Amino acid sequence: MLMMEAAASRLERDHVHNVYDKIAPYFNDSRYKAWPKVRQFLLDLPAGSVVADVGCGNGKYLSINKEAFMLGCDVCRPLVVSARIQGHEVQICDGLHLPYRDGCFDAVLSIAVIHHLSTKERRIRAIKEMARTLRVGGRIMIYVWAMEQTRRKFEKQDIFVPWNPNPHSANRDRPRRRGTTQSVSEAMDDADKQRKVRSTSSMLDEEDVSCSTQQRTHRLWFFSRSLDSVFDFGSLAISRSLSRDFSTLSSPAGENEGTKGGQHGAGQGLIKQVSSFFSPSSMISSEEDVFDSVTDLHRGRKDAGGDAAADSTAKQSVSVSLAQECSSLALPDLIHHQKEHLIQARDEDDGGPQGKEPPQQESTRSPEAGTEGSCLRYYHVFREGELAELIEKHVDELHVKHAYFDHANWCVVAEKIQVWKI
Amino acid sequence: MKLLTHNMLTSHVKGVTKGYPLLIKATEVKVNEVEFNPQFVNRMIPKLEWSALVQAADGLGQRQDLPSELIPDYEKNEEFLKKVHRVLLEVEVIEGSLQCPESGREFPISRGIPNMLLSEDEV
Repeated sequence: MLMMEAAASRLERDHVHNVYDKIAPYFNDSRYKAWPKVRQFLLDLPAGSVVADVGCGNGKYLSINKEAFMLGCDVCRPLVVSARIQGHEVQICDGLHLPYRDGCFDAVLSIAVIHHLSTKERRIRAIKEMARTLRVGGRIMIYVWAMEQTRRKFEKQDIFVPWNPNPHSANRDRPRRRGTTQSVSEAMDDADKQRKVRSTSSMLDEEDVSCSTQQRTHRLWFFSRSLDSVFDFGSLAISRSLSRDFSTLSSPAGENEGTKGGQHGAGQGLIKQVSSFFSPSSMISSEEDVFDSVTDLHRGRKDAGGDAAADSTAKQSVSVSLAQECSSLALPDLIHHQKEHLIQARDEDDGGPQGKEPPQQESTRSPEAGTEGSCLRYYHVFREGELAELIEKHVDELHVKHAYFDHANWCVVAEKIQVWKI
Repeated sequence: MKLLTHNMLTSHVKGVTKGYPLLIKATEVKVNEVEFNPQFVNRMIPKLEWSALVQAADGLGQRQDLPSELIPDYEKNEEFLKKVHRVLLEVEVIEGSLQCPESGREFPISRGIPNMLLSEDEV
C-alpha cells in the first residue's frame, strides 16, 4: 500500500535518520563497544571472508576480524564518514535497497538496525535484501531490541526513545545522571582499570548511582501505535477519531480532483494525520541504558562471586544500588501515573514519581533535545520468537540456525540456502 | 573506494537488469601502500568478477599488465598475486562517480565514500 509506504518512510526519516544525523557526533568507541557474541561470530569466520555490516554506524564491527574483508554501509552520512576516517570501506545506502550484487558476501551483520523499520513488511524486505547478497551457505546475524527485558517488559512494541547527550562531557560538579554509555565506560575505566567491563552495553557510573534522587534525570519512553495497526482498516483497533479523519481526508479530495493529483493530496493529508498519531500516547520513565543496566544487574550478581573480594563487594554494592534505583522508577504499565508525572515534568513542578525530589530536566532542556519530539528514535521492539518467525514464514532463502537472547536483544543466526522453485 | 569494493557494487535503480559493473569516473585517485598478504589475495580471487576488475583498473589507467583472464595456477605465482594485490587494495578512488551502465545514473563518490542512495522515483 503506497500510503503506508510513504508514511513509514516519513516516520523513519523523522525519527531515525534525522535523529542519527543529529546525534552522530556524540558517538564514539567508548560508548558503543562490540557485543561479545557478534565479535565471536566475526572472529569465527574463515580468513578471506567477505562480510557486509548493514547499518554499520561508526564502524565498530569493521575492525574486529583483520583477516576478513569488511564492507560497511549506513544511511547516516556522518557516521559513515566517521567509519571512513578509521580507514574502512563504507558506502551510504539504504537497507531496503542494497547496492551489492547477488551472493557476494560470505557473511552479513544486521546489529540493532531493523528494529528501526516501522512496518513488518519493510522489516521482511530488509532481511530479504540482505539474504539476496549472501552466498548460499553464508550466514547472517541479526540483533534487534527485545520487548522482554530482564526485569520488565515494554508495554507495547512500537516506541519512541528519547536521546540524551552525554552529560559527563561538562564539568564534574554538575549533578550526575545515569549516564549514556560513553561517559559511563570511561568513568568505570578511570575508577578501576582492574575491573573488567563485563557488559558491552552501558553500565552505571558508580557516582551516579549513589547520588541523590534529586539529581536523577527524568527519562521517558513514548509509546506509539504501530503503523501496521493504523493502516489495518479491518481492525477494531482503529479509534473512531482516526476513521473519522480517514473519511474526511479521502472523500473531498478524491471527489474534487480525482486522478492522481487528488489521491496524492489526500495521501499527504493522511500522512500528516497519521504522523500526529505518533505523538506520545503514554509516557514511561527510564531510558535504554536503564534496561542495559538492569541486565547488568543480573550479571553483576552472578559474576560477583568469581572476583577478588574487594571487587566483588564493590560490584555488589553497585548492584544493590542499581536495584534500588530501578525499583524506584515507575513501571511501564502505570500509564495514568506517568501521565500525571509528565504534566508535572512539563510544568516543572515539585514532586517526581512517588513524591521524590524533582528530577533534573536536562533531557528536555538540553539544546540537543530541542522540542520533545526532535530527538526521539523510533523502535519496533521484538517479542520472543518474532524475529525467528519472521524469517521462517517470510524468507524462504534463510534457514534459522540459532535464536537466542543477548543483553536485551533477540538474536538470530541464519544460513542462506538454495531455494528450488518449481 | 577500493577496486575490491567496486567489484561488489552494482546499480540498483528500479527496472535496470544490467547494472553491473558500474563505470568508474574518477577525478581523484590515490595509490597507497598496503601490506601484501598473498593468502588474502588468493582467497579474494575466486570471489571476484575478474573481467569487472580488469575493466575498472583499465578505466583508471591502473591495469598495468593484468591479464584479461585469470591465469591458471595463480596461487603460487607471487608476481601475479602482487599485481592483483595492487589493483584490489592499493588503488583508491577518492572523488568521482559510479555510473550505471544501463540507465546512466551517476552515484557520487566523495572522500572515498560512494553514495548509493536512490531517490524515491528510482526505487
